[in-house]
Amino acid sequence: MRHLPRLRGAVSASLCCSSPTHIRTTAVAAVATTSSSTKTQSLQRRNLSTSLPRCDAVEAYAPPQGLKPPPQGWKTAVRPDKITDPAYEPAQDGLGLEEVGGLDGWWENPANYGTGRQWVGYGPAEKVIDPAVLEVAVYRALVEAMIARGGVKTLTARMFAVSDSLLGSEWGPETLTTTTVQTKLCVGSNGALEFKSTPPEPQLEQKVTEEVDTAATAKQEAEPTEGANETEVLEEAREEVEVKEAVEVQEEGLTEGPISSETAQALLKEIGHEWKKATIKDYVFKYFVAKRIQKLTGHIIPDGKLVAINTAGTLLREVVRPPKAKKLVEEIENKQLFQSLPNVRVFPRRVTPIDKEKMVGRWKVIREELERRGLPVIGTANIDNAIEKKWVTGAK
Amino acid sequence: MAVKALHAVSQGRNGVGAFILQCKKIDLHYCDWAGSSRGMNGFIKSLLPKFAAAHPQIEFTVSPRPTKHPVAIGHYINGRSKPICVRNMEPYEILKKLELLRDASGEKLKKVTKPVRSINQSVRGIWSPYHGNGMSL
Amino acid sequence: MAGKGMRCLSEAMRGLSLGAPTCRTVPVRTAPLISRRSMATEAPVSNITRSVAEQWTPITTVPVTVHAFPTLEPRSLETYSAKHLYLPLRRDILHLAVVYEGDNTRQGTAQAKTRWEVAGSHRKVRPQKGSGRARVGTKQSPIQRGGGKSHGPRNRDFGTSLNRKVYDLAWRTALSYRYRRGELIVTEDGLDLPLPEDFLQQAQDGLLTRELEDAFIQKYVGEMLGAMQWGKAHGRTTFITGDERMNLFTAMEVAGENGTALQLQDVDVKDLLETGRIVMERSVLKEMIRQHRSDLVSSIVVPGMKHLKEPALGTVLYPLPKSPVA
Repeated sequence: MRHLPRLRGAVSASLCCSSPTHIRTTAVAAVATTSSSTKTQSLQRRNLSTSLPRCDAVEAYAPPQGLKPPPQGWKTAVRPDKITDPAYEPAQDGLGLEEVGGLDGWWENPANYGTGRQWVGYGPAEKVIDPAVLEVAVYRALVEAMIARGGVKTLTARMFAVSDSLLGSEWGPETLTTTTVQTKLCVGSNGALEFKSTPPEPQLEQKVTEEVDTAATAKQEAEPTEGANETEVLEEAREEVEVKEAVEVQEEGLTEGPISSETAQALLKEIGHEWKKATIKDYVFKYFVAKRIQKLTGHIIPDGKLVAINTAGTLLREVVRPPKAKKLVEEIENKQLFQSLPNVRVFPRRVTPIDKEKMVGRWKVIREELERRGLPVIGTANIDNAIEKKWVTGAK
Repeated sequence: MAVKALHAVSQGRNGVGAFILQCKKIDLHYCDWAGSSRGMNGFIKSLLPKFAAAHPQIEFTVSPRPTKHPVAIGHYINGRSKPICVRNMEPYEILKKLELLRDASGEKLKKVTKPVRSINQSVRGIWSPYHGNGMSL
Repeated sequence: MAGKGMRCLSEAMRGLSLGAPTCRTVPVRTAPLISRRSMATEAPVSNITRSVAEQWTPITTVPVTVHAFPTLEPRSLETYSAKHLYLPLRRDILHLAVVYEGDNTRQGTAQAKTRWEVAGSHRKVRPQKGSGRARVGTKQSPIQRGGGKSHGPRNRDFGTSLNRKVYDLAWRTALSYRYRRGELIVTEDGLDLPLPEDFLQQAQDGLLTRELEDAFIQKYVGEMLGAMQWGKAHGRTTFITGDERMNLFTAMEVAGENGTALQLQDVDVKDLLETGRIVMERSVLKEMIRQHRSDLVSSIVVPGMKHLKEPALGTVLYPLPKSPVA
């Protein structure tokens, strides 16, 4: 037997997330693990660990609430022969009784199940599908990933923090997208992606990081409870970037969701196509881009695909490509295969005998005749096969 | 006795003057799930658009038949139909089968022992005991 | 004669050697075209054999993104050798491994009694002659009702053997196959399913019966995996952890239609090839590859001989351990 050393031990430092772990300590205290008690109950109860998972992702959950346990205690009805009340009259059927049945489907009732139990992913609640928005998102991701890559290369704590918050930030106000997209990317001398204005605008990084910080600060102030959970490093970074004046201005235009399709169409004209030829080789850069794309659009680019993606164009194609059709009919519909052929008909489901009768207009007549004779229109109405058939064929 | 020339009029047959394809309709059935339909699904996607465009006189219907093997059914103007199961076939094999359906007449398959057949009347006519002079015994 | 042959051979070998200018390094054009003298009988230079300007560099390492579990936020980046996670698909080797595992999983405990094991007297049933009926020896004979089975199943070991290096290659081929298809998701250590706290609290307080607990978990996990597109409609999910995680394993046992949870020691190559995607902790991936790399490392030590360096197991690319924030 092979055994692995237990993995619950300390994680290597490289895995600690750079944003602080936000675990509700009150909840931990409330449901402190009592392994001994769970063990004694294990005969009739499920073995459930009540300690919070070590995963830092718990923070993404809005606290679920409203779980309603079923009424406790069982009442047993008095036997009919023991009842002394002269007015008692036994029920003839169960229809008039107060409640019939057990707890089946207890959680199907939203009042019992509570709210806030939806899965919350890293990206937006709904995947972005619009190709224009996706293209803008990919472009924005490339720009921001380049800034972040530059920041990480400096190996200073502040730039690390800023890069991290840049990659993890939401869409932010629309002006932020516009500013980012106006940064021109082009193919460098060695084929790699570069900022068009060489040397890259010195203010650009400053501008973008400032805006991200501003948006983050505005969000923080909107939710004061969250404020205490930021790292010291981030706060330092925020103090350095003194943008307190802009907070009020930004708060009005704060939109979390993706940009609209029309805005994206307009921005696409500015972006152009030159950047699509640039090669992307660096794995860390690809990781940044993929992470940013996931945050902005909800599309997860798997590692296996990232290996093969070597240009910005292929990256874009990978993100924009619609999911594979599951049914042949959908594929025929998508590709418009028989659009110009009048002699081909495609049916989305099985053509049943009734459909065939309907096509020649005979079904109405059949239905009327069956109804007139009191015969079931569809099915056999629980009438068995002729018993004589059994006698003739000798089937059992 | 004046010699009269034979008054030859070509008889109306298929192919003289006009040719009517005997196959009027082909049904194609497939299944989305089963592996035996893989070739059929590929055929419908890749080869059928061309084949259907080349045969505007044939009506094609494509419909799923879940949990069943794929089938191509030809319907003919003599009222008969010819179903062919195309399970586990490659698209090009299915194309061959469709060509077979297209070329078929719809008649039941018969064993041809006398390969030459004529629909012209016999020159000698049919013998009848009530006609002619009879035979004196 | 022989000397000449050898010289030809050595010349040919020199031509093949690495030092020889290959087609890739041959400069295509040495002199400007105008200055070159053209001959009347010269054939036009064909460019069909001209090599591409860019050299082909094989992929030696592949990235592995480590996600946080339920949110799937990318948290860090590691690289593995292409020999670990980017092997070409070898269906034959996978087939060998699956058959080998299947053979070794067979219980092989079927056992039927032969005529020698059926209990009872071995007396002759009736006289050889005179009864007018067929001759019969013992009642344990296979042709008798209640007699022994002549070629029945016996207890045996159906196990077959497979060369260790082949089997290990199969493991990494299976991993590579899932990786290439984007069906291998690596999470941070401590992979567990976060069940809602209010539910756990009520379960702890004993307010819910086992049926209600199961029904809740089934609904909750079904909805969660459905939203992640990991559930039944998307081919189920296999979770692999280092040891047993109570909530995850219980949840996947209850909501088995949406996936399974396995400990590393229970995983086979076949498990890696089933279901829509494999979700494993980063240390599980590392350990799995560490256990199955016998074809990459040599256990033989020859003094003075250089060993092929074994590819590193998971190098962290980001965030680097020495980076300021990490």
